[in-house]
Amino acid sequence: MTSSSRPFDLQIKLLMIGDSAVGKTSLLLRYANDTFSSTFITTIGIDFKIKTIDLDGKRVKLQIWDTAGQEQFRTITRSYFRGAQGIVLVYDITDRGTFNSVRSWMAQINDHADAQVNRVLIGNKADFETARQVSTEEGQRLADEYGVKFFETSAKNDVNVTECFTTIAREAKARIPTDPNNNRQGQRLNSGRASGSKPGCCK
Amino acid sequence: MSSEPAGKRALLWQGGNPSKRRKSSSRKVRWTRWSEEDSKLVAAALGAAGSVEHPDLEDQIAKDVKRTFRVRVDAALLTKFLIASALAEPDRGYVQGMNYVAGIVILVFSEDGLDDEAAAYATFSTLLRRFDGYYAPGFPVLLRDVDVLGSLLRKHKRDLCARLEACGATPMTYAPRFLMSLGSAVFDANVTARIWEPVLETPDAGSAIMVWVMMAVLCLSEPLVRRAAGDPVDTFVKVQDAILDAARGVATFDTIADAAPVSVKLVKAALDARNARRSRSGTPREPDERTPPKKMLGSLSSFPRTVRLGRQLLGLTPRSGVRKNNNANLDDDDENQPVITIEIDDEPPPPENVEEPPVHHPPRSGVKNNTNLDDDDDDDENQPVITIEIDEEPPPPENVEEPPLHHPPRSGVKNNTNLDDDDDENQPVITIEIDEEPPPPENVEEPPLHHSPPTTPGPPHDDTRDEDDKEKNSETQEPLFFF
Repeated sequence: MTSSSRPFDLQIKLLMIGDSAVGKTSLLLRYANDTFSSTFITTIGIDFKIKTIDLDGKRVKLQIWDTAGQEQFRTITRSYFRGAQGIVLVYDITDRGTFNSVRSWMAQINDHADAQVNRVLIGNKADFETARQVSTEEGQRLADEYGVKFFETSAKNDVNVTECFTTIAREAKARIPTDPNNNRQGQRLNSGRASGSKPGCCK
Repeated sequence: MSSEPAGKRALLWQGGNPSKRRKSSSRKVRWTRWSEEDSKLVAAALGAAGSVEHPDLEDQIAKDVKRTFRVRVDAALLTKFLIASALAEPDRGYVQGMNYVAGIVILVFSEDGLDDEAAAYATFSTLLRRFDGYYAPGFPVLLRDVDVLGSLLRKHKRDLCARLEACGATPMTYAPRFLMSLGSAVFDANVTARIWEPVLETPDAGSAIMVWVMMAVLCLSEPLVRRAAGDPVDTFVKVQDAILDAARGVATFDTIADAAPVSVKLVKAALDARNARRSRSGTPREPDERTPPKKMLGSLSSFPRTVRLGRQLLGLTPRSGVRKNNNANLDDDDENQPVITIEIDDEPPPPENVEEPPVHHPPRSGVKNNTNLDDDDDDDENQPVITIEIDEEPPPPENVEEPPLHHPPRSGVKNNTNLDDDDDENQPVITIEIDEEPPPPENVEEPPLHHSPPTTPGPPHDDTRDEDDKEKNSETQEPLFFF
């Protein structure tokens, strides 16, 4: 990615959460690489992607953390919440169980994420209408209840994917000052990145 | 392929009888031999998997079975194994990562027709048992290992550690995927299977082996990490990619062994020390704290067959080349102390030697030990050596010194990209290869860069290996890179 060498104004860390197999990784790969495959692999632990976008005249680098969804992993997933400026909470419209988990995920965010973190709710697999178990209205209602934006997406058909990431990035950006002095704050999310990122110990 | 007289083993050591190799080269056979599962338990578990309804469990497993590897794995069997093991350990249940583990086991056992489902399940189950705490609620052992990995890095790979942490790449960000899949989510299947051999053979050393492997991968990634670290922008993600790329580029187990900055033994000692510290909350570790290692020995000795390999492994250390970088750090460790104890205990077991050959590794350990042990006390140096001899009994003193040679051939192997073949199956048996072609001594000294091993064409062993190769080839044709 040569584009990454261009200067950027802000770096934002986003975290993707949601039950297992709702399509978090597929959404991310669609967004970051513009690819889709039905043979994606279970995410174990965590995966990372970078996407640089132009947002309202600013160059924003998104660092996106893609987590494992299985409930048992929450003990370790929690440790990734801190420092995230935006959280993309995903459920599967063809699996009501994953929608029912949204409240529990929201509680996790409350408990473990930074207080002002921005959130967005996503109902994925919208291309699979015949298997739908959660209506768009229900999704919207729940999102309204938490005061967050809502999208139904299809990673497969590339519907609304860019929109949801752009939205969460814009919200986070609005909250984070972009002047040079505060720029580092965004980066710091990566936990302690030094400005030059050259620890003096190199040989 | 049970016992072989010591005499034959010596022959193997010295380069004799290649036909022996075939005997021990079937991974399936070896795995089966090391499985500890009681056949009744296995039958019960497999039976339960088919007879009872478990909708939630089945639902989760069904989702993952579809996305376990991109190569064909018998879905029905994978499902059955996962359900069976989840039911057998209700408190643990099914945890993602186990699907990869079962997948590899099934692949290995399916190589030429799955003839023994129970044996395959027993192997899978034994592997999980080796890593109980990786999947138990809260992942206690996983968290401990991640933590100890961090300390070891800080101590033995200071510069690399500083680079990683400077960009936020803490062990918690890259290690879980390696550890919870026991390597299978990142390494080529052949490499993974090879890593599991010592794990299966050595009760109690699973964590040590995985952490050791992780450290080796980090060392392999170092050049890429350095490059990434020069980029002030995407450092974090580039570093993560560098680590994955390094793992995916591992062609053989030797690559890992060559790259490891410390010995498995040292890692094991660090893990034991951490446990001891925890259980005695806050009590600083003192030289007299030798209890933990002893305890480990106790368990090792209850598995006589595995004792030898255990010793080898615990003595497994890096090449001198690699070491150079670390010399600085080596001096200190308190961690070695426990090790001492371990070896002392080992001595007694010799009797079993008579049974089998697995022991080919020892030579290496011998070599390595000499190199490393500089770390500290004299004890260390001597001990490892002692161990070696015990195992090998037969080999005359000189053997101890030659071992270094063995490496070269292997490194050659690495060059061949497919390689896995050679080693995976043979490594345990490594001796054989060694024997056949006396590797040039010079190689011994270069090892440091795993990536650029001496270009040694495929081992001359072809003859013997034909059979194995066929199997391997079939594997190779369907590349097992999962990403």
